[in-house]
Amino acid sequence: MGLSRRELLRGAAGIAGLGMFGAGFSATPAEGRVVIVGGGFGGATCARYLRAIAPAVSVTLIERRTRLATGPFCNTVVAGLNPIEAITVDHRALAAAGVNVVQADVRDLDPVARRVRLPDGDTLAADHLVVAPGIDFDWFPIEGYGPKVTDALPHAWTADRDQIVNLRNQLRAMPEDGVVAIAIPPNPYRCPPGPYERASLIGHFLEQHKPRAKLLLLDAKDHFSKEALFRAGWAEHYGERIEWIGRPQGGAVVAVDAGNRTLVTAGGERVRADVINVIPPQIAGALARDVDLTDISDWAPVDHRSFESTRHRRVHVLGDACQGGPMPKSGYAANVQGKICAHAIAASLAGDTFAGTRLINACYSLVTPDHGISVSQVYDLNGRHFAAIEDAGGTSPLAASVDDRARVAGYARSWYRNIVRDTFGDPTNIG
Amino acid sequence: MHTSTHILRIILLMAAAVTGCSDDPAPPPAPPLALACLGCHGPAGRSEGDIPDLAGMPRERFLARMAEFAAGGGDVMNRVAPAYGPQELARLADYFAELESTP
Repeated sequence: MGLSRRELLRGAAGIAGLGMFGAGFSATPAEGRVVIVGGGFGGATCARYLRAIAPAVSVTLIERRTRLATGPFCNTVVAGLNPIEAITVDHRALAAAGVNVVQADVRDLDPVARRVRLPDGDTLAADHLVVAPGIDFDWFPIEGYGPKVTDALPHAWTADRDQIVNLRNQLRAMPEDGVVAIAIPPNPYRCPPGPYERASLIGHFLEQHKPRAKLLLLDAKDHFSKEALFRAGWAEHYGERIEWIGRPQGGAVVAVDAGNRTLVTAGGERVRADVINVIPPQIAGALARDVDLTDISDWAPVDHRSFESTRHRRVHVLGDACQGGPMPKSGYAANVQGKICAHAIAASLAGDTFAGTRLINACYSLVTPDHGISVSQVYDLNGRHFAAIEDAGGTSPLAASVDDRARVAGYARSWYRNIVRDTFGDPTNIG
Repeated sequence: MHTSTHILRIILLMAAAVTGCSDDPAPPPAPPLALACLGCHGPAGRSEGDIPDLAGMPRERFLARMAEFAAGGGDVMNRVAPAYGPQELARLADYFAELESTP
């Protein structure tokens, strides 16, 4: 009869447009090839949801690591509350769900032809390309800090398990009356409350194991996420142990002397510490920057209805690397973005258009293992971009009771298990 | 376009849709509005730990809980619930009520 399946589907797309099959779902099975580069919260969620909503679409996920440490809950490992295995994820459940998981670096990515080249010379072509490389560090603002000194002064701010274990081990080995210093970057960066949760849980560790030790936070900002809640929590649980020095007080770190374990601040102070955690300033992952997906900001502009790049058609940028507007760079945001992107791609491959949807960010922090706080926000589309809904959103109350804080800490642990399963799949379902 | 071709396309499309359904034992795909709920409440609305399941939650209970949250109860949900109107809540309640609860 001379009609290929593809032509047939193309013809059928018009029928779906008649609205016979209800809103939201196209009647036409989506077909095509999707290549996703980056297997963190954004990329993995997109792969998993694409398999579920568009089973005829071939989904390839390229990720160089076989095992990743999650950012969420990494501070519980730094503080010795959990083993590294508790925050380690992989892509076996995705592979079991039919995602073609390729463990490789990407040598080259062509955003116009939508082709990805692997180190072994293999080339993968895609109808839709998803780029989710996360962050890279901008090494320039802190003189003396770079890849050669991250063993001595760990950042512990990526999926690299060794970095997190390294920081934990340095804390264990430090003297009882030692000093810990954390250099905290300017906005925007991955996980806005993360450095302050880290400070809290290190404070908890010191309280128990290094009773005379101090913790110094050297910050490039004037204010920070959940500030009132963290400050009140520190005063209550850790007293004078945690000291925050913000940008107005000259706190921004401008140089390190790794050999002497010394930080130099914008205020001209030289701070010697026994354990130094440098969380460097951040930019979109190289993969996005190298192939013309970012603008002058070093982050990738996208249409929030589909997370399609505004610079290259049918190329999507997810998670920390994209310009999320009012959304923070968080695992939760990347997870919902991955779902929206999956729906947008499935619709596009079925000859349809996805209108986008409302989105939530929900994020918990632990001030102690029994004192949880949260921030949440709801975002609605205003044209091509999300705007925070004014009547919603905010943080936990300052006056929460001990019981309420413990309840929120319990929610935080439950949240972690659920978001990991929603993103990477349930490891117990692997055959 | 010839009418006969058009009808053939419709028939083949129906066949493809039916085949697709029988192949897939997974729960019905979440309507877009529900996507943002599943990060906290778990895939297909099934939670591990203290956050409650949404899968199988009776419609009336879902709506009553959301009304309590919108009035200020709870943590996180008290700041999420005000963003949703009655029609949206009804759609979400219908979807989650239909999902199979955790065995």
